[in-house]
Parts: sequence; C-alpha cells; structure tokens
Amino acid sequence: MKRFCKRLLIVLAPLAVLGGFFGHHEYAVFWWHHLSFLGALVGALGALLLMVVIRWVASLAAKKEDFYD
Amino acid sequence: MIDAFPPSLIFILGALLIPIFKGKQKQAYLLFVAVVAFIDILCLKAGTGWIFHFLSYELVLLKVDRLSLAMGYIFAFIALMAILYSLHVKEDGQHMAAFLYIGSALGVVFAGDYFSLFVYWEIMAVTSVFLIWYRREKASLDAGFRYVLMHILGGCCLLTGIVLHVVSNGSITIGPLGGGGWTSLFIVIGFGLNTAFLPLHTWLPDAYPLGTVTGSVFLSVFTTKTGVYTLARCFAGNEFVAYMGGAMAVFGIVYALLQNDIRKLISYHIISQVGYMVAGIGMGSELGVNGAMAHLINNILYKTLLFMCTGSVIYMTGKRKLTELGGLARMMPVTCITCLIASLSISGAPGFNGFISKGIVILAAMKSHRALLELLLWLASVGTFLSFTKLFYFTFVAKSEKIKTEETLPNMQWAMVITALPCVLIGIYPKLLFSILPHPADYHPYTLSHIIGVLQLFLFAGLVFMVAIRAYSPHPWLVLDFDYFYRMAFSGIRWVCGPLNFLRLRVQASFSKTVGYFVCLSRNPFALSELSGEYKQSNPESTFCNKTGWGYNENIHRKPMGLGVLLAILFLFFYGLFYILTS
Repeated sequence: MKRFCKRLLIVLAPLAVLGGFFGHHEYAVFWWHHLSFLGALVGALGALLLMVVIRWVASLAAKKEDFYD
Repeated sequence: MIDAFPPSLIFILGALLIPIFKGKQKQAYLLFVAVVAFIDILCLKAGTGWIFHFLSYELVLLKVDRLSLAMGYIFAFIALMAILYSLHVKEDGQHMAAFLYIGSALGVVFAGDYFSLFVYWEIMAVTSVFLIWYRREKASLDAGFRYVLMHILGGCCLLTGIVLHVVSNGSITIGPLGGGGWTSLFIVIGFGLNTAFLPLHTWLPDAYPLGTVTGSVFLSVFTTKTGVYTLARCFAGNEFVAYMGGAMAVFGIVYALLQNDIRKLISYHIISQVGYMVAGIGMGSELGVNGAMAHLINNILYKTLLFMCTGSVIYMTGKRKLTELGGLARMMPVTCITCLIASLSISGAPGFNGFISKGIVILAAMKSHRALLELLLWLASVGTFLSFTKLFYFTFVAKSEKIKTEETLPNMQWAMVITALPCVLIGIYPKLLFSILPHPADYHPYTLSHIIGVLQLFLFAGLVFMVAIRAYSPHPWLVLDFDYFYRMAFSGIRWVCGPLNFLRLRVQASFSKTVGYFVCLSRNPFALSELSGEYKQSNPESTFCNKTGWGYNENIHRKPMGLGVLLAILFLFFYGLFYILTS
C-alpha cells in the first residue's frame, strides 16, 4: 500500500506540474502567481519547512507523557 | 401572534423537560426539540426581533439579519446531527448540559445587545464544562477546572469592556468597535479567548480531547465559532485580527503535526482553521468576511464530522493514540469513509467544501495585497494536508495486529453519513453556500489554475510525506504549549500565597476570638467577672463562651442564612416576573 501510494505520487506529481502550464492565474497579484508550478513549490517547500520546524519544536518542548503528573 | 420566537429558548426550555422522559421516548424528545428549533430558524426572517425594555435599556433577545441567520442555520443543523450522534447516552445531565450549551450559543448569535450577549456567553461557558466533567476521570476534572478558570478570565475582560463601552457611549447595542482604546482591548480579549487567540488558546487543546466522546462533538462546534461570529460583528477590518489569524493558522498546524492523541490533533486544527476565519474577518473586505463565514460554515461541518469519527474510534477501541491505532479501515468502513471525506474537506481538496472557502479567504488576502498573510495561509494548507494524511494513515491504513473491533453504533453512523453529505454537496454545488453568505458572492472556485495549483500542492506535499514518513510518525510524548508558562506562574502565585494565607489565618483567628468575646459579653455582661485571672487559673479548660454556649455551630447557623438567601432569590424572581409582565 505504502509503496503503491509512493509510485502513484511519483507518476502524478510531474503530470500536475505539466498541467500548470495550461492554466493561468485569474487573480494574479504578486509575481509568484505567474509561476505555473507555484502549487508544487509551496507543497514541497512547505512540507520540508514544516518538517524542520516540528523537529525544532519537538527538541525544545517534547517531554514525557506524565510530565504534569 | 408571535412571528418570531428565539430558538435559544427552545433549547433552554427543552433542556428542563429532559429528565421527564425515559428510553425511546427520551430519544424521540431530544430529536423533536432539535427539529423544532431548526424549523423555527428556517421560519425566521431578516429584520424581525424580540425587544424587552429593562430599566432604561433595550434588551434585544432576537435580532435577525443575514449574518445571524447563516450562523443559525448551521448551528441548528449541526446541533441536530450531534444530538443524533449522542442518542445512546443514558445520562440526562449530559443531554441537559448539551441543550443548554446549544441554546446559549444560539442566544449569543441572535443577541442584539451586549448584556444579553454576556449572559448567554457565561451560560455557554458554565454548561459546556459539564461535557468535559461527565467523562468522570481525574484528568477531565482538572482540565475542566482549567477551562472554567480561563473562561472566567475571558468573561471578566468582556464584562469590563462592555461596562466601559456603555459608560462611554451610553448604548448597549452590538456594533463595530473600531475605535481602539481600553474598551476594544477588553472586549477583543473576551472574544479572543473564546476564539482561541494566541496565547489564550491553551484551554482548547487541553479540554476538548478530555471531554466525553459525544461531549467533544458539541464542544467542537459552538465556543470558538461564536467567538468568530462576535469578532465579525465588532472587529471586521482590524489589522491586528487579520495577522493574528495568520499566526493561529500556522501555529495550529505545527502543534497538530506533533500530536499523538487523535482528538488533541484535531483540537489544534480548530485553532488553525479558526485562524483562516479570523484572518478573513480581519481583512474586512466583503470577500474576506464572506470567506470567513463560508469557512466557518464548512469548518463546522467537517470538524464536527472529524470529532464524530475520532469519537467512534475511541468509543469502539478504547484507544486514542496514533501509536496504538491502525488498520481500522476494514473493521470500521463507514467511519473510515466519512473520516476520509472530512480529511479531504479540511485539506481543501477539489470537490469538497473546504476547497471553496479556503480559496475565498486566500483570494481575499491576495486582493488586499497582504503577501505575508497569503503565504502563511498557504503554509497552513500544506500542514493541514500533512496532518490529516498522518491522522488517516496511522488510524485506518497502517498495519496493527493488536486491534480487533467492529463498526460503531447505528445512530453514530447515521450522524456521520448525514454530516458528510453537505461536505460533498457544497463542494460540488457551491451556490448552496453562497446563497446564505452575508454579502453577495461573485467567486468562481473551479478555475483550471486553482484546481491544478491545489493538486500540485497535495501531490508534492504527499511525496515529501511518503519519503520522510519517519519524521512525521507519531511519538508517545507530550509537547509543552503556552500553558506551561501559565502553570509556572500559578505555581509561583501559590508559593507566594502559602505564607500569606498562613498570616491571614492567624489574623482571622485572633480577630474572631476577640469578636467572639465581645458578642458573648454583649449577651451576658456579668460574665466579665469570669474573665478574671483567678477564674481562669481555677478553670483552665473552660472559657466563658463555651460555658454560655454561644460558639459557632455550622448546622444551626447555616439554615437561617440559607433561608434568607432563598427568600431573597424568590423575591427577586417574582419582582422580575412582575416587572416584565407589567412593562
């Protein structure tokens, strides 16, 4: 199941980037709205950034479950 | 003829009759009250109201406009679903608390003046805590007390703000408070505490996961959403509120990603999702407020559904930690499918209701040229998708040999299925939602760029999740939140209070003794001679007060005091009744 999901994502992700070239942003305001792969960029960088942030927060604030007991 | 009746009173009066019914009759009665309230709200027309004159003020118990109607529809619908979900609960007290909680939340929504709002606001805080305490565990009891303490603080701030507002303006009518100053500050803290503003949010992830299985479903709907609603009434277009929304959206998902307890995970998501609404309101444009209200309605639907699904999992398995769960998809198919619908909805997948409302809020941020806010909301979207991938994967998909269970109770299944339907319906046909928004909606969510953008975001975030699945895996830990500082502060106060309390007790004891002597002397002045040194030396054990029998007896002295209080309350009640009937 896990391997299947990973393969499916690997196939679909580049297709979605290709699809981005066929549509333009109707409400573009800032320069990044013109990037056809903006969603992919936000998705990948956001997930990586969050991974770093949660590891940092965990290193600071994670305690044993009975910490308050 | 009465053309509009406050729906809040239907629930509040309905709660009082619950203990009369038993068994199936009680179940029918619970649903009947909810249906009557729903029909009552459907019959309400914008512009109608209920006004009472009290002293020199106008108390508006019912004020109907498009904003309150939209809230009323969704509150009444979800109340009906939550009651259906909790039909199997035997304890009358839990049903009564839920009814009073729903009634007071509807009271807040339809209140037209600050006094009525405040009264309903406090009833909401007091009744909701019983939905936590009914779990009857020490952890729930403690969390309930912390919840009440925080809400008392919020209530005090709100009351202070209201009094300042009335003193300065002379009006108690609810309206925009853009002026700033102490009035706005106190009121925004009062509303903000219920809305889970940072860092006042700690009561939410502390208390909601420790409520009863059905109680948490009710809790997830009303408190934070009435907070958002009051912000929309009073603080639309406030820059601080807008960026607070962005911060809440990101903070919520960071902490949600770190959680192991499934209900704690979605509790942090309430903060994140409420952040979108708060951001929309803070922007203040018609698009922003529409987006906030649309997201509020959608959020109530899928968040309630998520609490129902996780509640079913806990009810059937007795486990609530991701590290202990897994492989439930085959054993609990209805719960699994409805949870998938809720997860896709909250993530904002095309075809589900979250796609519509999230799009509106982010578009409002773009159109108002708030680049930072837009990026924060996008980041929150990524986190939402990741944490619900985590929740769904580790609860229903990941292998676990330990758990053997079956599908949940039929009433719970029906409630989940019916709540899931509008999540899909609104996603497919958004005009259904647009028709009840406060402002005219001119927004087309299904554009090619929007759909492809969201798909790209999901696919790439999903790819990172699958590659780095260990980094997102649940851990059996507790992640400290801001409540750590509150607990430290309270420990400090307790440390300081210890010696002070000892001193107080000593002073009180000596004063009580002196006063006791004077009381006894006033009743029997001849006893003065007994205080002489000779008498004391000859009778060391005897004090003249004991001898004369004027010591304090709790059983004797409490009764007349209690009777006095009771008579005063009865007098006030009949006076109030007489006043209302004659005015």
